[in-house]
Amino acid sequence: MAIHQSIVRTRNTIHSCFDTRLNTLITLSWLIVLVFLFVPMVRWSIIDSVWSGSITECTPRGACWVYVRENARHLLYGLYPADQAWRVDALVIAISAQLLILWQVRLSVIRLAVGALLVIGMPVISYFISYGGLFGLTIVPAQYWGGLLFNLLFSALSISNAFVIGLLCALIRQKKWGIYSGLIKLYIDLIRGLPLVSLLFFATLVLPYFFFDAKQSVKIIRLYWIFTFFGAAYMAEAIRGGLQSITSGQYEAAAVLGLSEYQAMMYIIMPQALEIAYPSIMNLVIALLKDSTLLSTVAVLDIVGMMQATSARVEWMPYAVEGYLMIGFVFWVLCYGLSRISDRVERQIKVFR
Amino acid sequence: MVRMRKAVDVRHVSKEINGVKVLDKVSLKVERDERVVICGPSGSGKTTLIRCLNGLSTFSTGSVTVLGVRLTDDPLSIRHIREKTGMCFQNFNLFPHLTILENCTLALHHVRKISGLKAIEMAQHYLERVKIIDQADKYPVTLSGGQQQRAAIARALCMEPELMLFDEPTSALDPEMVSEVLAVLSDIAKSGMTMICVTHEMRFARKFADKIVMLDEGKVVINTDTQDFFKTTDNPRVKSFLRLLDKR
Repeated sequence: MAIHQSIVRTRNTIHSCFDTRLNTLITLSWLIVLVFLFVPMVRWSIIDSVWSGSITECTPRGACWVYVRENARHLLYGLYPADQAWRVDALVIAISAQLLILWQVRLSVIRLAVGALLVIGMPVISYFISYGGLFGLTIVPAQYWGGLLFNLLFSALSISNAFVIGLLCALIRQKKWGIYSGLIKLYIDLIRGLPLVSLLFFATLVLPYFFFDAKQSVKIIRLYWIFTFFGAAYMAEAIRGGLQSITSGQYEAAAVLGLSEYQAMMYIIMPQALEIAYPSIMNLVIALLKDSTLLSTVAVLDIVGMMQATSARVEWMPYAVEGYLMIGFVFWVLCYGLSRISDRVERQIKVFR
Repeated sequence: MVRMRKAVDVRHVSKEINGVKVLDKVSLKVERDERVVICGPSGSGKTTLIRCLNGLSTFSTGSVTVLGVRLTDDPLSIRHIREKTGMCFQNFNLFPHLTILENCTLALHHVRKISGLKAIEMAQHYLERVKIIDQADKYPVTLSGGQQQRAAIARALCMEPELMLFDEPTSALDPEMVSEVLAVLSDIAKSGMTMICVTHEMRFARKFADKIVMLDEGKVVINTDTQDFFKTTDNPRVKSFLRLLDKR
């Protein structure tokens, strides 16, 4: 039945492409554009490309995916020593597991514990496991950190922290606590008025004059908090939008049942506000994940920085385009996956709205 | 001794919003086990009055004592009153992210500290009483208005209040759903619960109210036994109000 319907729909679509003279003309001109665009693209990237073997087999006619293959380890782990890479793997697994628990487990005690671990514990734990020096781990200074896994770890932790800070900011603004609400508004307006790149440069070049020295390991911490507070400002606004759409009747119903203000927030208001704010929060998560590549502008060897560094070697120099395309593809897959997940959760939410 | 106390004692309560007197020296006494209907044209201050009883609205002068607790600015006094008072709203205000059963058990868990199975049993008992036990696992949005209001009543009853406040419980309902909610209200009235009900349903009032209070422009126009109310045809305001309702 479904197959039959889709056949009919396809036939109708095709028919409507050629039903009038004008439509035929439009369809044909699009086809010509597609052919001219895609045929060379497919030929370059797939048919004439070199996937394996050595770099000497690469020709200017086709893509040289050997470059990605040969540098895969660096693009994943940065300059992290190969014999120590298990530390990064362990962190990725631990954080993925925590996010999975937060997503799937319904029991509020476990969620609260895992959430607290992720937000308060994991940034510190991740830093010390990556850096080493404790429990006999070799020290790996931060200028060796990098690659795609760095992007993922950095943004996962930073976004989690930004969510909690944004939540608190949204609550304080909503409660109208005099000067505190004013200060939060100032902070949000300030951050929203500044481009992320300028904030990253501020953290790298200006902040060391006031606190912390210019060591790379400390620089990562400064960048982490700037990135987090950047995300938190947007989070706060997204969540506040959700809070404002809750009617006063919900507060009153909670109050007359004898729930305290905290309980009403925790069990009635916040769950609904977060559900309403969910699409904009997910939008922000995707944007921040992509923004983590901007760290390459301040000499962090994240996936983009690492790609630029590897393609700076003479033999790889002609193949930077392959690197950028690969990064684009990886991020597209990541963000597409995230938006599929968010679509699914949104559909679940609609059930009771 | 405690039983002798009045359920509600409102004395000379006034409230002004932007120079308009919403309540003007309103006094009202409700005995325990008494059922009182508050009526009056719209904008007469009925809803404000009933909201003053559990601290949802504030008033500028006068005093309110509910179940022996004097309502003050102290949040503790408001909490004491709300613990012993249930309220239902015109718009039901069910929690849309929870099922009907969870709507009922939430406050049992977090306010009365009654755990899992016991709370569910209590909730089921009251859902059965308002006859929507078959809807227990559905979300509010999938229910009709009448069913939602009955669920809201069950949610309030779960807390086993000594006093129930109803703020126009049937006003937001389609006409064919009014009767099912009134049936539940009648059932509660028969059980001897102290009730204060803001409503336009004068037939319900005639049958179940012990006392009828009519407000107009923030003042108590009439405060009398039910029989006397319907006999007091000489009061022009009552006459015009009843005539207005008949027209609907």
